[in-house]
Amino acid sequence: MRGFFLRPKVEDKVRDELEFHVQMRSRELIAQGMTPERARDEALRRLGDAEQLGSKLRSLGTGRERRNRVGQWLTEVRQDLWFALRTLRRMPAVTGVVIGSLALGIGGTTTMFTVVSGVLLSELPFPNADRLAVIQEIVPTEVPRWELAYPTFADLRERSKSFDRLEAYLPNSVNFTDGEETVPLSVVMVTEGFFSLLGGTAAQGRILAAADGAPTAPAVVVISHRLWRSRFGSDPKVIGRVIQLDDKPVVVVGVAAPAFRFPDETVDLWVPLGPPQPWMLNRAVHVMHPVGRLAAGRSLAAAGRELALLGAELQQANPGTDPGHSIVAAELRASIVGNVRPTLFVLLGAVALVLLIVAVNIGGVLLTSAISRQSEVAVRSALGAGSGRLVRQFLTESAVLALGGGILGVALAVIGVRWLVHALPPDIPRASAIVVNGPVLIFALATTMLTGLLFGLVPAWRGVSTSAETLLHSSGARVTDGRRQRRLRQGLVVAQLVVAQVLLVSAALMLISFHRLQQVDLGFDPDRLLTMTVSLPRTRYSVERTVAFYEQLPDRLRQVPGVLAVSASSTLPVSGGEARGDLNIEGRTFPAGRTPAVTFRRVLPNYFRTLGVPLVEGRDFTPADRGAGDLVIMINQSMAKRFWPNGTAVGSRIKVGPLENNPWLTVIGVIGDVRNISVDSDPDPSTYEPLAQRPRGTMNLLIRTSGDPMALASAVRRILRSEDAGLPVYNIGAMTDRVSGSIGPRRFNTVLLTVFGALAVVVAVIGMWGLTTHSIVERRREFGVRLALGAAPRALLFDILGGTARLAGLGLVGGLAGAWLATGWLDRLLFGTQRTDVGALLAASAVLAGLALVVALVPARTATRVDPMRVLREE
Amino acid sequence: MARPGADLLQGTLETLVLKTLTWGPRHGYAIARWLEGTTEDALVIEEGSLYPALYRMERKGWIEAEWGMSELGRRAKFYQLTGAGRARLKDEVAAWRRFSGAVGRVLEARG
Repeated sequence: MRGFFLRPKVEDKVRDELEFHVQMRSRELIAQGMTPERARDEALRRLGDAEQLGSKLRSLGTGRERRNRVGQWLTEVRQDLWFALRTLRRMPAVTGVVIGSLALGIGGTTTMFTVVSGVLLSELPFPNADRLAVIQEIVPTEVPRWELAYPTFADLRERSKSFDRLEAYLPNSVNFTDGEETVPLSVVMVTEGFFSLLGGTAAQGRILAAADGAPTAPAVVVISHRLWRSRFGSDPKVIGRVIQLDDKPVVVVGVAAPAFRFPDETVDLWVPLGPPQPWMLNRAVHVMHPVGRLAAGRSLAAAGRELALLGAELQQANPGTDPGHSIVAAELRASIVGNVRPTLFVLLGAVALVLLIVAVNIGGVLLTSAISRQSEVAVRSALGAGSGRLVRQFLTESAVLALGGGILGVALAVIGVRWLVHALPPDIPRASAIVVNGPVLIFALATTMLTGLLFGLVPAWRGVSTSAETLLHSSGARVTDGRRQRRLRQGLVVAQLVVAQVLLVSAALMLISFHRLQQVDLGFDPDRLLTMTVSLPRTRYSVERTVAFYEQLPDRLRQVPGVLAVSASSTLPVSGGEARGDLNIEGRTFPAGRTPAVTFRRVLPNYFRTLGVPLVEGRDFTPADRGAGDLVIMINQSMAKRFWPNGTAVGSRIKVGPLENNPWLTVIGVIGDVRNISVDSDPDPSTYEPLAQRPRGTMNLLIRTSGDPMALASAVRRILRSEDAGLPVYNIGAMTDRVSGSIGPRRFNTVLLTVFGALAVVVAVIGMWGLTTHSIVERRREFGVRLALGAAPRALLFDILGGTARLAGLGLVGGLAGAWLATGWLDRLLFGTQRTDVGALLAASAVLAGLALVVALVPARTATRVDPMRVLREE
Repeated sequence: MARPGADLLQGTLETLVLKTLTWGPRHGYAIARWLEGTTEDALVIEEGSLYPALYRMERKGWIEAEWGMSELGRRAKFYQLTGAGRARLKDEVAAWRRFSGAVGRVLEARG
């Protein structure tokens, strides 16, 4: 086939070459006086046997053609490369700017992709991870996803056919006593098949076995690799050691493999769940996290349908519990990373836009340099370089630039990833999976090549589309830029402004959100507030002792100089972790399935005074509210407004919580709203009970100080230890740090988007500056003539600025439209503002338009100071 | 073809062509004309052997060809030196100098 196609081509070439020779020779002979006929005969004669020569050349040529096709191609590539390097060395400024900005763009994009790849795309480290699903209950309340009650889990395990394995775990915390010190550890209670379902193996010792859950079995624990290293100093003889958990001896039987960190990276211990404890048997106590493997041939959707049916059956069989709940299945992956997916994609999209701007800008820069190289191109094409060859030459240059930028970019990404993993807010799961690996490098390479192609094609197409003759006939050095070319460059600049505007609007919206967030009224005063958690071991602290301990604690701690007030609460403000219960109001019934849930917490009497929360109505707790006589409760303003819109809540009797035997509690007062869950979630209906009425061992202390709260931390700790040397005291910190921690993820998003927006603006403005400067240089002659003819410099200035303003205007209009489309993705990340925020749109437009005009002003002013005589003489 | 000395002749022609191309790309006819002019017709270049020599040299990678425009605006095949060709020429020139020097010394030697 190949020979068939090649032969005629070689034949033509041989014939053309010999024909050229004969004609040239004839010409010469004619000039010496021969007749044309004789001259041609003589020329042919001198070649010898033309027929034989032709066939000889053909055979030589064919062999060469075949063999050298690849060789020639490689030679050309080598030539192109060499030529590209030489060309780029000749313009170090352009090369530097291009490679530098590319490195930033590709580095940023690769860094974000590394995060996305690690968190969202990489394989979960479990066998058949794509077949694993979690089961949840959907509840029509503010926090819609709940755990399952143990009996519900047991029923599903028995009856569901969608899962061939169904296990569950229950996260908890436990006090670990290590010599003098007691620290809380995160423990996960697991069903017997948990490890094998998730592929958990032991680095040492063994994993948990089914027999470990038997009621008579000795207490055993598997410790995480992380804990083994941090707490046990990588002790090789840890297996068989007896450790104290909640003051009970437990035998360490295994250290988990380093990669096994389920359900999340913070897990310290796994213990067998064993037979359910009595409190778990209540169908209204939602504590179990089921994980299952879909049976062969079952889809997630089919499993979901089966669970919905089973859920309905269970409800009928157990009337009165959990009306309105439904049971659903979700991908394990989605349950782990579902929340951060939109955020990460927004960030990746934003940085990709920055890269796009960079590429467009480089396209503009190369286009300008291509224009100044027109004469070179014309000469080359006159020398016989085909347009394909020229395009390849330009693309080779772009590829060299892209590759340079790509390599630097990957280096930046390696640094960037290291930085980002530290800066990531804690709500991003799977941080340990964020590494620069094969897929990331492939992504970087693909991005690099695509970018190179993107910015290389424009000048390449532009470079060869100018015909050689026109250029050679024009004066060569001063080739003027055609209308079409100017349009093209203007288009590129407008495109940059559009994208920059999109990013700038996004950044502005994020900044406004963040500003609003910082102005949020938390409902209490977070300044000079020291917080820490104290956990009284149940084995040593009876209910009476617990109450006594906490009741006398404020007086003891106030002995520390600088302590103004002391209180305690079961959960801290802005710290999530709300306990919720169904609300019942005496004398009212809520429609089935519409029972509202409210949060509840237990506090020491002076809680509101310590925090600075105003009492709105009724009375505050007193030390006398201790469970004797009327049981009391306080509620927040949101709750009072929602359930007693027209009257007073004070005096009403309510129940909070799932248990039917909960007593009725009398509302004695209404206090102001506090942002209990986080800074960015509105206060929801909340209740407060006195600790003495419903005691609890683990409490968070709140200590109002006169100065820096952290300065008193060790003194407070010393007093606590003097009460009880083995007391676990942890989570020591200032409330202001908790508040900023609560907005950490938003700060992270805001910072990144602002950085991307700023980068985009800088690049776009540089592009604008380049265009203006270049077009002014080109129009020097025109300006000179106009000045010579008496035009006012001011008129020229307005002319130039007018052109800039027109482009900026186009860019802004396009950018606003683009921002409208793009910020739809941003909605979730906004707080207290909308994507239609006029302020953000105006601010972004003003910044961009202002910068565009300023960068145009400088070269424009020099243009108007042109000396007309000199310019005209130059020509 | 198997004429004695043909190899030497052929090698010489190739060396001459390489030398011709050191001043830049030329087409076949220009190479022939230049050789004729420079040797003042003392060496008669067989035109019939010039083109096969060019093709063979191209095959060996000493020269490469590109189609372009001749000075009269006609399409012509231009040959130019490659790096390998340049190196080859250097070797040949050195060898020729050694050879001619030796022959010269012999011929001018006195008994």
